[in-house]
Formats: sequence, C-alpha cells, structure tokens
Amino acid sequence: MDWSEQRVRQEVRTWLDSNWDPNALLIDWRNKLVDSGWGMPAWPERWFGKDIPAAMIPIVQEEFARVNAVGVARTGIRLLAAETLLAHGTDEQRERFLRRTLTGEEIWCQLFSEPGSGSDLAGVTTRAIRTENEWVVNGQKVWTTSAHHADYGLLLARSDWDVPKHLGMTYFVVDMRQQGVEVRPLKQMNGHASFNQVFFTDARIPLNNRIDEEGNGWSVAMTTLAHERKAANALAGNTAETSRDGTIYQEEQRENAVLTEPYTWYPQRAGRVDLAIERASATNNLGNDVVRQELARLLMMAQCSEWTAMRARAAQEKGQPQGPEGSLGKLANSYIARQALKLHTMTTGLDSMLDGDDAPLNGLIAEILLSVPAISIAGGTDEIQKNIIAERVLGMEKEPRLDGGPFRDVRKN
Amino acid sequence: MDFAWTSEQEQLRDTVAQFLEARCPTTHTREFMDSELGYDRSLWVALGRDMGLGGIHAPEEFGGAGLSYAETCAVLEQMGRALYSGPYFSSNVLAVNALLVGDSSQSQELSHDVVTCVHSSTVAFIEKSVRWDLKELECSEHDGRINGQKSFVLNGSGTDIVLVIARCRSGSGFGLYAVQEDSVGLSNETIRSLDLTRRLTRITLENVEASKLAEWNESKHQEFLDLALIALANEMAGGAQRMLDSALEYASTRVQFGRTIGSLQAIKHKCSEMLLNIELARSAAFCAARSVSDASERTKMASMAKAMASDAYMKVAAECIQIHGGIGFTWENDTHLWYRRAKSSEVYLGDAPYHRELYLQASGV
Ligand SMILES: Cc1cc2nc3c(=O)[nH]c(=O)nc-3n(C[C@H](O)[C@H](O)[C@H](O)COP(=O)(O)OP(=O)(O)OC[C@H]3O[C@@H](n4cnc5c(N)ncnc54)[C@H](O)[C@@H]3O)c2cc1C
Repeated sequence: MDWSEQRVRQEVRTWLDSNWDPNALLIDWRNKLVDSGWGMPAWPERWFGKDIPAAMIPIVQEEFARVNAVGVARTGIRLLAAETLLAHGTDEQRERFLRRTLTGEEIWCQLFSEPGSGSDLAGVTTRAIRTENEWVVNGQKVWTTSAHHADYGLLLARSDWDVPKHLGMTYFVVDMRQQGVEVRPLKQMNGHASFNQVFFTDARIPLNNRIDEEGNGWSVAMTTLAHERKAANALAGNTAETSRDGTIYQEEQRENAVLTEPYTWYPQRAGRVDLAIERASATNNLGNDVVRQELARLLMMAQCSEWTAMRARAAQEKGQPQGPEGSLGKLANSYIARQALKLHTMTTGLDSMLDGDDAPLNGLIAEILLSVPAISIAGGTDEIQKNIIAERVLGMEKEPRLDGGPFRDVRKN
Repeated sequence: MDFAWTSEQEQLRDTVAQFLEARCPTTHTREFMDSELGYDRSLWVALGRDMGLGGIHAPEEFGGAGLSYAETCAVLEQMGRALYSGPYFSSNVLAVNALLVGDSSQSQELSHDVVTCVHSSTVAFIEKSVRWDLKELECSEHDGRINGQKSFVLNGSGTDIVLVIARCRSGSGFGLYAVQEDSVGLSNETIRSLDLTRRLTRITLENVEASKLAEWNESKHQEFLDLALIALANEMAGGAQRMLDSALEYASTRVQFGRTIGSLQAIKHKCSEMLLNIELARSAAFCAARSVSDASERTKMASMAKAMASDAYMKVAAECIQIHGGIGFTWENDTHLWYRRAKSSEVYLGDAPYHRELYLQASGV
C-alpha cells in the first residue's frame, strides 16, 4: 500500500474515532489494537502491523496522544522480544508469542549476561544440550532485569564447545515458570532490586522454542541488542502520569505498577534533566554563575543529542544505511546523565549527604545520585560503545584477539 | 525543521568540497599565508564570482542567489574543513550580512559589487572595549566623517570597502557606513594573528569620509552577530571534522608495537569521543542555520551553536595533535594551522562560557 502522511493521519484518526473507548477492558482494547495494525504500525501487515514507513510513526503517535488512547504494552524488554521474534522466529513462533507480548499478557526478561561474561557476551557458558525431544539447560545468568516477574526469557546459551566462540551459541525462548529455573533477587547500590541471578538446573526447553538455527544464536542476539540500543532512550522515558478519565487508565496504571516496578528508578539513572532548571531555581542557584554554566552545558548537550538522533533518522529515511548511531546516542546519554548528576549535586549542596525521606524531593535527588552509575554499564558499557563507534563508524583497525579457536580452549573466568 | 540535507544542498556541498580539495590544498594555503595579502585573490574570485557563491543567501535585490542561510552554512562548513584562507567569511558573509541587515537602497546597490567580488569588503565592529553589543561603542560619525579605532577586523588590509558601525553624532543612534580603504585619514595596521590563515587588522579612522548606508541599532546588531555566530559555528564544525579525519588517517598508518596505533584502545576511545563532540556541535550548527528567520529562536540557537563549536573544535584539534605524537607538534605538520584557527575561532565573537550564559538568558532562565 502507498502511504502518504495525510492518508496515515486520516486512517488512524478514523479508526480511533470508531474504536477507542476509555472505558473498555484493557485486554479487549489491546487485542483490537493488535488486530488493527495500529499498535505496531511499521510492522508488516501480516504480523499485526500496517507497513507504514518508520518516518510516519510520529503521526500515529500524535493521533493516539490527541485522544489519549492507550498503546500496546511497551514496558520492559517486551518489544525487544517482539522485534527479535519478528525478525528471526518461525511463523508458528510468531503466532504463539507476538500477540500476547503486545497485549501485555506475557512478561519477558533477557538472559544474556553471566557472571563470567558481560561485555564479552559471546563468552557465555550456560550449556544447552539437545536430547531426543527437548533441550536441557544448566548454568547461571546474572543482572537479569525483571526475571522475578517474567513468564519467558530470551536465552543465549552455548550448544557447541568445539567451534569458535561466536559459532557455538543458540538462542531460545525459555519458560521461566518451571522447576529448573530459580530466580534470586540482587540488591543494587541504590537500594532497589530490579535485577536478579537466575540459576538453571536441568531446565527444559521444547524443541520448537529454539529461535533461528542451532549455532546462530549470536546473530539473533545482535538483533536484540540493536533494538536495545535504540530503545535506550525510550527506557529513560518519563514517569509523568496525567489524570485522565476512563476505567482503562486505572487498569493500565495497575498493570504499570507491577510491570514498571523494576524501572521506577530508570529516569533517575538518566539524570532527570527535566528537573535541572526547577532545582536550580528552588535552591536559589539561578543567580550562581558557576551553576549557570553547568546548567547551560547540560541543556545544550541534551538538546544537541536529541537533534543528532533526529539527523541520523532523517538521513536513514533518505536511504542512507542505518549505522551504529545507537551507540553514539547511548554514549551521549551517559555524558548527559553524569553532567546532570554534577549539576544536581551543585544545586543540592550539603543536602546531597541525605537519603530517603530526609533528602530533597523525598529522596528523589539521592536516587539520582545513586542511580546514574548504572547508565554507563547497563546495555553495554561506555567503553564497549566507544569500541563499536571506533571500529564500525570510524573504521579503525580491530583489536587483535586472543580468543580464537575452539571455545573449549579459550581462557575464561 | 527538516533534519536532512536536501539533494541540492548535498550537491552544493560536494561541489565546493571538490573544488577546495583541488584548488586549496595546504601547500597552497601555506604559500599564500606568507604573502602580503594573506590569501589568493583569484581563488576567492573563482569561488565568489565564477561559482556564484558570493551571495548565496542574499535576495536578488542584493544581487544574490536568493537561497537560504543553510546553503551558505553548507559552503562554510567545507571552507572550515579545507582551512580556506580568503575573505569569503569577512566579505561574502559578514559584509553581505551587514548590508542585508542594514537594508536600504544604498546597501542594496553596494551589495551587488560585494556579491560578485568586484569589491572585497569587511565589517569593522569590534573596539577596544571588546563588548559585543553597542553600549560602549566609541567610533562616531559627524558631518559625514568618522573618527575612532576598530580592531580585530577580519582581512582588513587589502579590502576595498570597510563597513563601519559607528555612533551618529549628527543624529541619534547608530549607523552603518561605507568607507573606502584608500581614504585619506584611514590607517590600516595588520596585527600579528595567532591564526595564520585569517588576517586581523586594526583600523584607525581620523576624519575619514564615510557614506551612510543605513540606520543601525541594538536589534540589528544582534541579528548581525547571530548570523555571524551561526556561520562561524558551521565553519568550525567543518574544521573539527577535518581534525578527526586527519587523526584517523594517521592512526591507520602509523605502526607502533607491531600494530597500527588506531588499533590501540586509548586512541580508539579518543576518536569516538571526538566524533561525539563533533556530532553534537554539528547538530547545533545545522539547526541554527535553519532557524535564522525566527528572531525569537535565533539568538538562542546562535549562542548554543557557538558554545558547542568552541569547545568541540578546540578539543578535537588538541586531540589531533596528541594522536600525531611528536610530529604533531612540528611546524611542518599541518595540524597546527587548524589548531590556530580553532583557538582564534573559540574566542572570536565570544567564547563558550559567554555564550552559555547568553543561551540561558535567551531561553528565559
Ligand atoms: C541496571 C542494569 C540492568 C541490567 N539488565 C540486564 C538484563 O536484563 N539482562 C542482561 O543480560 N544483562 C543485564 N545487565 C548486564 C549488563 O549488560 C552488563 O553488566 C554489562 O554488559 C557489562 O558486563 P559486566 O558487568 O560483566 O562487566 P565486564 O564486562 O566485566 O566489564 C568490566 C569493565 O571492563 C570494561 N571492559 C570490558 N571489556 C572491554 C573491552 N573490550 N574494551 C574496553 N573495556 C572493556 C568494561 O567497560 C567495564 O568497565 C544489566 C546491568 C545493569 C547495570
């Protein structure tokens, strides 16, 4: 179909006018939305989409915002799961998982990092062994966000030890609610416990839950990570809740209370740039020249980073290949968060020594100060982003490697 | 705002880039930076007249091509990259802008000759107070004659016509005046400038005959400065990109410890940071170039673009020297020519801290 901006706006508006109901049941509405294709408009029509060009997504978003319509479920890593399955799954797998992921009925977690391999993701040692009619998994994952809520996990495991490390991995969807999977929460430095340790002891995976070919796990994982980097900005999103009329919002809020529990501190880890001016003013620092300098630095960086992302998107829409700009944006977010932290410390002054109820904004500032260190680690560290930028954007020579040959013989932790 | 280049803009950018690469290598720049004039006048005429770049954003009444400021900025980015040393910035940007801002029949008439490079021109607006507004402007006109001293005039020597901003003694307010460089009473003194590719002049005017082109005031002056800042920021983004390219080129050929230095992580990480800084600064410059028609946004954007460019260009120029090692510190190596440009551009029209403050004020903070 040939989409024009006008046509998109027209169609989505008409559809919303006749279907959006703020008093519908959330699940009914989401199912309808998924069937209509307007929930994931850039996806193929065959799979709950509308095939519209990515550039026109903002039009759809605008129309949804205009009537305050609830979208598909987006919290957590469910969209990473959905995109990965869309790209690599079989039709049968797409049938089985996509709808319930988008309606919010199924919660996902990402089982990539292990105690022995984080940045070096291709070094995973969790074993998947194929038996006659299923896969059996043993090993340990760590830093697994939301594992305590999850129905399913995206699992990267080693299925062959005798080939080079990148060739011996296989990607699975694992049912988290089974005997062989044990989830133990990990308390973080900011007091929250959004990530977990996950232990697999003879956990079972049906054969039809293998994603893509055996040994092809690395390329599937790359798809997931590409979407993760893109989503990094979205995850940093806001927590603002408007008071809107309609029962569906209450339902959505209840859903969010559970689903977003692990993420309540995510906006804080991004530095809360939105509070910068307000805090400078509330602490009588708007006349302080040193603070003003740092404030301007922060606001400019944040603004320019947004524009940089838009320039990259615009260039892509003109047909230039998508590059690893995601890494540039992710790196920028770390600098922005650290600059915000610096500013919040300056404006908060001695009160930066306080925590919890005794601290400004009921501990929100303290939470910023204690959460920002995560942003340059989670989803690939700053150092790894810089390697990616250097090698894939700037074309610099690859690091000599010491981990070639059969994985069995590679040095490990 | 459109965040992508149009195909026409891309074409313009590429044409200019190719021309400068062919005609303006650093050997050429070095040859002319030691000459009396400081630049190659025929190359400037080729760019301004033959290629029709002399008044890209000037409307037809001014003899220009009637395109937008984004096109002018696209050209400047390439000039910054090539470290072009002619009076394009001083004459075809600053002077043309002054004539556009001081719109009158006289300025329109004069503009035709500037746009076609029949005359070279420059704007004399900085005085010893080094304030960017008009508050302490001392240079003044009385009965058609100007007295005073201007400094930091770009390419002021060898310029045919100097545009002078002065206080009107006869009336009130300020005016934009045209002065012939060879007028009686005008003395021109080339100041030794850190940037070897952009000459600076101190001009002393003693009872110099001047013709008034237009009224001038704070708001016109602000517009003139904003436009200058935006142009400069784009030029700086191009220069910064060149510093990264040059660092990358060296890093991919220089071998130490049996490997290219570009395969070393310390160098890689430096280069990634350089790219990030350049991209952020480029975004500011790009967006500013597209916001000049909106007076309420323009000042804010101009200050943001300049603050970002000042820091980015300086940082990458310094890193480029570092990545070159000892050779980067030699006169022979070209890096210092850009480093000098980066340093002088960093402070020209106000440094980063100054513009961070202005940005906040313009944002209502
Ligand atoms: C809040 C949070 C949530 C997370 N959620 C999840 C999740 O849901 N699922 C999941 O699978 N993982 C998750 N992670 C894990 C995260 O992806 C890893 O922590 C991260 O990739 C780094 O791995 P690591 O902790 O093993 O550190 P390491 O890889 O051991 O790194 C230690 C240090 O060495 C540096 N380093 C390592 N390799 C290189 C190199 N080649 N060049 C230069 N420096 C290098 C790193 O930059 C870092 O500074 C989460 C982490 C955090 C903080």
